[in-house]
Amino acid sequence: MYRLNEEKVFFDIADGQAVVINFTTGMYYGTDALGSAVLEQLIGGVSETAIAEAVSKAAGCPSDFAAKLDAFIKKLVEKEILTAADGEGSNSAAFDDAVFAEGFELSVDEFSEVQDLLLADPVHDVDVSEGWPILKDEN
Amino acid sequence: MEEKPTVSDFLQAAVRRFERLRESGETSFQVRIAGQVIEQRFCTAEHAATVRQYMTGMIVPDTSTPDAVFYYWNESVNVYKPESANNVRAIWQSRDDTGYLRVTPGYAMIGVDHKNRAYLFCRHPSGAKEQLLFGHSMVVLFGWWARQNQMMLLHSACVGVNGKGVMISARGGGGKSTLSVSCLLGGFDFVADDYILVNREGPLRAMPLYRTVGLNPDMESKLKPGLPVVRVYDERGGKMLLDASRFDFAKELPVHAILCPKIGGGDEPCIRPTDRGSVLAKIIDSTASQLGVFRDPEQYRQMAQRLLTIPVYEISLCRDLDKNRECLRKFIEKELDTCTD
Repeated sequence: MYRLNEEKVFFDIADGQAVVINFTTGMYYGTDALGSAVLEQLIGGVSETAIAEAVSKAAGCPSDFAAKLDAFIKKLVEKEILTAADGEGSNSAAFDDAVFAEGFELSVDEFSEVQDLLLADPVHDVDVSEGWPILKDEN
Repeated sequence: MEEKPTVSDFLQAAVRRFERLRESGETSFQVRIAGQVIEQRFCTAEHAATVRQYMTGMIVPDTSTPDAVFYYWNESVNVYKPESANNVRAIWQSRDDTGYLRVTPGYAMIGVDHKNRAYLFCRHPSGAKEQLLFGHSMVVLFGWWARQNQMMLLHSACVGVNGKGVMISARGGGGKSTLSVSCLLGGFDFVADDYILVNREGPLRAMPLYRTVGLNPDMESKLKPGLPVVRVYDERGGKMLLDASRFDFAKELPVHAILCPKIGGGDEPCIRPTDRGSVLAKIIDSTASQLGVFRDPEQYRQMAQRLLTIPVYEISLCRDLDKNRECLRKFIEKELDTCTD
């Protein structure tokens, strides 16, 4: 079984969406709807086996879901969101059908604007002859 | 060789543009917050009048040398986008010793000019949904100003008794505003119902940003007649505000605990220690969203480190507002430790 890595991570669920913040790095993690529900169950002490069994009963669940779940958990451990814990874990897993609406991919994304979104420095890196940083109507 | 322009150069060009767009009339006023005088300048008198209502109680006579100037206006941010920018989803930013600039297509241009102590917010025209996704402009600029002045703006209420304060933090609909307004009317030391400024170093202290208090319809119906309630229509829609400047506001309160309200539905309220992680995640996530710094690791980390040592409790609310308030009063007076260092 697994537990939340409370030495490094804050976790909350808001409107069915997991909010995961590594408070030592400031990194924010997002998961899809099913990933959020699975993460919540894992933190609650439910075993991986019980989760795989419960999800496999949902309509449209792919045959390789157990492998996807295993990869998802490995990623959560690698990102230091979960750590392994002693014990077998609970066998009681339950999911609202709504969490399957987005599919069964179990994504976990690491968000950092610095890495992903901030693509240019418009003042220093852009040719001023193109009109930047001089405002257009000042020309 | 042509000298490279600085961020401050660019932002001063933006200020000149703002001044050309600015209409005549009452488009500015000054406020004193955390010991500093800040001039708030708007392009329209209507915008100035709306924000002025929020700032009741903080407004001071104009001085010729404010400590900082905030500029607010609405305009397509494409004006501030480089010609070579062809990725419409990218955020463009510049940073140097003179300032910081960030252009988010579809949202806003935000600028911080260290050299001239100017803070700029140009909002891109957008629909109501987009307006709600991001913080409102006043809060965004105060957030940047706080960072430059060794403070931090947090999305939280703060009340206290006998000089001992607690933060009250919850997502929308969690009972934060109702409980804090009930405390204000019940004679508590009051800092804020929605946003607080806190110091970055030393024992945590909370200070008010403004002295108006948002009212939900439930609270409005419970107010005694004659209290000064005003309706404002801002960029995020209509809102009822209680002009609380006549009440005793605390200039600052030491924060000894964080309380997360929960609608319990029982006959009696109770307060007990709770999971720190979920409460702090709520505060950090909602603050980042309000300030428009969503997913900025450095700001997440700073907020987390600042709040990490503060004890966290849950207050399970009952239907009786008076019982909830008195439960909190007793908790602060009798049970809360006097030292949180």
